[in-house]
Amino acid sequence: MIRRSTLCLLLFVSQACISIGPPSPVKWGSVPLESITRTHLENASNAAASVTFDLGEMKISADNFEMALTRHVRIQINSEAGQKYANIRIPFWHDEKISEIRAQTILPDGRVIKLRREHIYEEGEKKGWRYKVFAIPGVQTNCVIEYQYRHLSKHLSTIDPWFFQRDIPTSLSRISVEIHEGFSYDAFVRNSPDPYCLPSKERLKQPGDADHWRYTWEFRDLPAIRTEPFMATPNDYFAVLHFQLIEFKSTLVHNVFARTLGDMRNEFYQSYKPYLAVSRRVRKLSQQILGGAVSGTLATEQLYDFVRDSVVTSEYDGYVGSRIRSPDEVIKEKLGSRVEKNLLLVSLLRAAGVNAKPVIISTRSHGKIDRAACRTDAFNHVLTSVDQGLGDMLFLDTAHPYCPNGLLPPNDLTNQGLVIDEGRPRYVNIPRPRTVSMFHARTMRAEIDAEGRLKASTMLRFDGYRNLIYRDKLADHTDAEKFIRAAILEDIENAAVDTFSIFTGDMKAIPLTVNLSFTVENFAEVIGEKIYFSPALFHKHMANIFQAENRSYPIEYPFPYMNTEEVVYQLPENYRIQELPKWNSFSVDGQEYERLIYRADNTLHYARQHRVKDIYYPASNYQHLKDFYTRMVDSDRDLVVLARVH
Amino acid sequence: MVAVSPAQDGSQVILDELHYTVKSLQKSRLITTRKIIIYSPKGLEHAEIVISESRFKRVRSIKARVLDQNGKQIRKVRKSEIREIDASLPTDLYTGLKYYVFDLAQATFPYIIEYRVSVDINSLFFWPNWYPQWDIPVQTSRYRLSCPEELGFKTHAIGAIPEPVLSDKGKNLTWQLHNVPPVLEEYRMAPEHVIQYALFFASDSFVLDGIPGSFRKWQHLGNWYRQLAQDLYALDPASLTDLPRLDAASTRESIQQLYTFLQDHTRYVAIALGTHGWKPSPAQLVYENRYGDCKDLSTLFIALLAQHGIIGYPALLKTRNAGLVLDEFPSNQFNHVITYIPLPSETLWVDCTSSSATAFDLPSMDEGCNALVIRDDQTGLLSTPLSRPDDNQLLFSAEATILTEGTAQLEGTMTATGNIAQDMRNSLRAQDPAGQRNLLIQWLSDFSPSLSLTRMNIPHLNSNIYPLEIRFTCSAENYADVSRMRLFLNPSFYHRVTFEGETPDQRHTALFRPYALTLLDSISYTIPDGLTPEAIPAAAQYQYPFAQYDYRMKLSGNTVKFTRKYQIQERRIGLDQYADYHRFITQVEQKDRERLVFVR
Repeated sequence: MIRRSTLCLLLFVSQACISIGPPSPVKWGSVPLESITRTHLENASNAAASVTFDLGEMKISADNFEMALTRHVRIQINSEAGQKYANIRIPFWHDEKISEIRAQTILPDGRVIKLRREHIYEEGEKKGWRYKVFAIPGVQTNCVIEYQYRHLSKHLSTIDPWFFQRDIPTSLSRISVEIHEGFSYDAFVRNSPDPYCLPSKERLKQPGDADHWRYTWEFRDLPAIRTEPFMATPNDYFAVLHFQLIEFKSTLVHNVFARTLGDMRNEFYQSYKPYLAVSRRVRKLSQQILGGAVSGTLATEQLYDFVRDSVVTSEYDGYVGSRIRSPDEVIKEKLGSRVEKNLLLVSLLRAAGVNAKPVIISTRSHGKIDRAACRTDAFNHVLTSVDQGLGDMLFLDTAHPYCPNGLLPPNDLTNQGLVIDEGRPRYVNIPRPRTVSMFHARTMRAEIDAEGRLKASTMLRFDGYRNLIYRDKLADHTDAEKFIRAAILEDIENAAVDTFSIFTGDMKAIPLTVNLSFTVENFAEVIGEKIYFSPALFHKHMANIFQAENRSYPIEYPFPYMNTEEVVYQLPENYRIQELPKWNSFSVDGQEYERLIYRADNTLHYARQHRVKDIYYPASNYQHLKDFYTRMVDSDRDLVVLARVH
Repeated sequence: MVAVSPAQDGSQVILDELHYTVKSLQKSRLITTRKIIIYSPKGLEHAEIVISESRFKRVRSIKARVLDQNGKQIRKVRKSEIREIDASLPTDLYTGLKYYVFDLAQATFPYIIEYRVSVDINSLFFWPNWYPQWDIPVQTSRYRLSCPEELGFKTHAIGAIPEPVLSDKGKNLTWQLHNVPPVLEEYRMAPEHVIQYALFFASDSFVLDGIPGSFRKWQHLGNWYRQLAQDLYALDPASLTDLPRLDAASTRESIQQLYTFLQDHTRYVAIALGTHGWKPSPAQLVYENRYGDCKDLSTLFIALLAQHGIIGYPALLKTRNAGLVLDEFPSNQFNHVITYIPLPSETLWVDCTSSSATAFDLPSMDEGCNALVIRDDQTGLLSTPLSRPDDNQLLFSAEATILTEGTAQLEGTMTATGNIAQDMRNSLRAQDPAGQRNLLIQWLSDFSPSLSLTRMNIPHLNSNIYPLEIRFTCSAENYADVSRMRLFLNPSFYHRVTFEGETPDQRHTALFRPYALTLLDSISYTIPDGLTPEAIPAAAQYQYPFAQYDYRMKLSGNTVKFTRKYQIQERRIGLDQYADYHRFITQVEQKDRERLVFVR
């Protein structure tokens, strides 16, 4: 949920939010001693630490074209685990300034221990992110720490968002923004605890000055945001205030930045335009790669493969701005960040007559885009899109070395992107890939002897994203046999590799195939005249992946997938099947499981399938999903009982 | 031209040369020249070059270029491509180190990277060692030393390091190795085997930040440290307002009370700036700040002890996970500081960075180490004690009722001591109460698909002097497997061993475990009515010089009493014992998998 406000000199906001009038000043160091051992939030009383308040006062002024933020934070430390919140690291861009730092600890007996200036350090990249680093002294369980600093920045179009929430509970988070004459910003509150809340607004007037305004957002009693398994990113859940510069107007100049989607798109388009032009070098290379009259789908495939394989992926250095190298530079050095590679691909495709455009996205780890919020900092990556006609678009990312044409790396599987061209500004849906990501294991001969030993020959096939993931794992291992032991046989205890072969194919889209024979001593349990064994071999569910009692956030899988297995067991001589688990099939919304087992002469046929169709499950479904996995573990552990025949 | 085998993959070092020139005790230069051939994308990790700089090691120049496989230059690295980053290790708040980072990745293979780095080192304390072995094959590795004749130094070799070749009337020495295989890595490799080829250097004399020292003998190094740390133990008694009045009946108890105070009122923060990598902060400052690294906290603790007439000394040590101190080679081998307290009837070793140990037990990585105790009268290496398996014990005891559908309802206690208690306390204390519940559920759920925790109580979580006791009531759905005719029950609810690592024929080095331990289980199961036993695992006892295992089952009506003892008595299993160790673990693994089978 995004709540939008527009902050400027001229617009009038009708409703006040939580507080009216100027924010009440909080005095540095003024802490009622009894509050040090008493907590403010009922739900904070169990937390290792809690934020008593986090107050920001920001001024955006045309005098120096500067943003000045003063921040004052106070945190209650409740336990040993909370002491880490006294190690402070303040990020800033290298040409910004952090100053007037002060910090102290207030102990239950009223003593105050102050941070010494010489214990403030700075580190980071010379031309990148830097950090002021310090440890607040005197910290112990049941104390209060507070720190304050001033942040000056000339980057008015990219003001850092204000996070109301953290990974510990927050009693009060408040940001006041004073906008001086000329500037207009849009402000978006994402995941607002109160969907109807608007900022309070106060007119500030100095003698002889034109009007300017102070806007204040304030939220209280915010719970902690904690990472849970199968969560795309906690960034999707923080209550956070984003700023977007719309325009600046003075007597001399009027610049529009991003009031509408079209403005924002235009801004990106102007940034990328130089990279989209087809230079002579790009044209020549495109012709060289295609070697003749190749167009359409084939051209796309060949150019994609070239950029993916022939240009080394270097470190990510932003998705827009002057630090991005041109296609010519990337061609010359054969080196490019994932963004530079995709822009090169756009350029090469255009040279080949393919209708290609950049599409900017927010990756899964960066967080979801909300179309209601028009803000440039919502994105962090660029894909290549190809218009295939009839409204059908193909999305490509050359960053991953094993990602075939038609598949996007899992972190790109976000729901939408913004097309960067000169046409109608629009978001496009980025569909989930149609390819089924499958793991298939076929063991046509698995012999169990009377001592419980298993000898098996298996063919394994990895399709879709499984192909990508396992090729990655293979590349990570120096030794193919280590890969087999660590990545393939990891679920089968005591499996020893006899022989193997791995087929990777000439093309990355070809499924990875592994042929493998292996032996497992003590696979079956032999007790007296009975043999007991569990017929599931690969991708066996040994434990429930959902163990926590409760769930706060939705469960998200990166992609749908299916695991299947078929095994034909050759049973030992002089044994018959005494008990066989029955056919088992059950499902939950979005997932299915089926197990089939039957006997035929002296063989036992076993087949099993788990399918994840949906990738998104609301937190309210957690218990059902947990129960589903419990049943799967139970089913995979079911035993076959053989009895000796006399 | 470099011969390339079509089968070659990854990368290989063609030349790794260190040329170290010593002008004086405070002036030396290291020139590193490297040439690496990158055969495939797998080798690109070696194309990213990181060079560190500190106050004592200043980078003078960096030159790098990329060549094709015929040696022809493809490109030169520009200064603008070299990123300068001030950064600290994840374990440290701030170290003041700087890194120069550049990437020589290319897309056309094979190709060669070549770089030369010149670094001025202003103290022989940091005499660079020679590590000819990499994680990839090395064709040639060379160490050239140029130094004044009168400079005294010594070396210590690990692996097959040849004798040096002398030249220029003995002023230059060159060590060289060809065809060095990649470093061998094995599961839980004994740390002292991690480095397989090396030549260590130690100067007879050095000067660090104006303070002279010597590596001739351990006593000399101790003297240097003592000089570095002199006058740092003073505490202003008037400022010690929150120091508790000790009400201990003995010196031992006093030490424990002071240690508890230190643990409750300080925290570990590493700021290793310049000499503060070796020189402690003054005790008064550490007390006021309430934080410090290992040597700072040790200094404070010694000062607090002194306030109560107890004498303690700093002890420099190399934690066990980093290897063993070479006692015959006095040099800077240490990475940690603890406190040594000699008492009339015993010796205590105290690690001031641990929040979960007591004054009477060390964290596992401090055990069995040679520590350099810095004493006024005598400095020397002493061994820190090793805990015994019964010191590190985890007992899982429970009463369990198995329901007809296979659910196990348990009421029980986990009781941990020693290193096991420390590890569990550290994990629990890092969580809030909800996190602690989830952690316990995780621990109990290894073999249970769905576990609900009804009750949890940890009475002494924050009191290190007591064993850690976790009392719980839980319900484990589908713990026992139920078929149409049978019920299968694995009695090892909590502890089950799995073998990991190389088979004996594949193993080349000793195995190292953090500590000796004893894991005990005592569970009484009530089985549903109407079931008769079909298969009951037999009792088993396995006895080896380094380990033992005792597995027993007793049936009485519909009650099964299960006990299990698993004990590893040595933390280091030598290569000569490894086959037996493998046999032991696989025997235990097999036994732990066995089930009781009941039939209707």
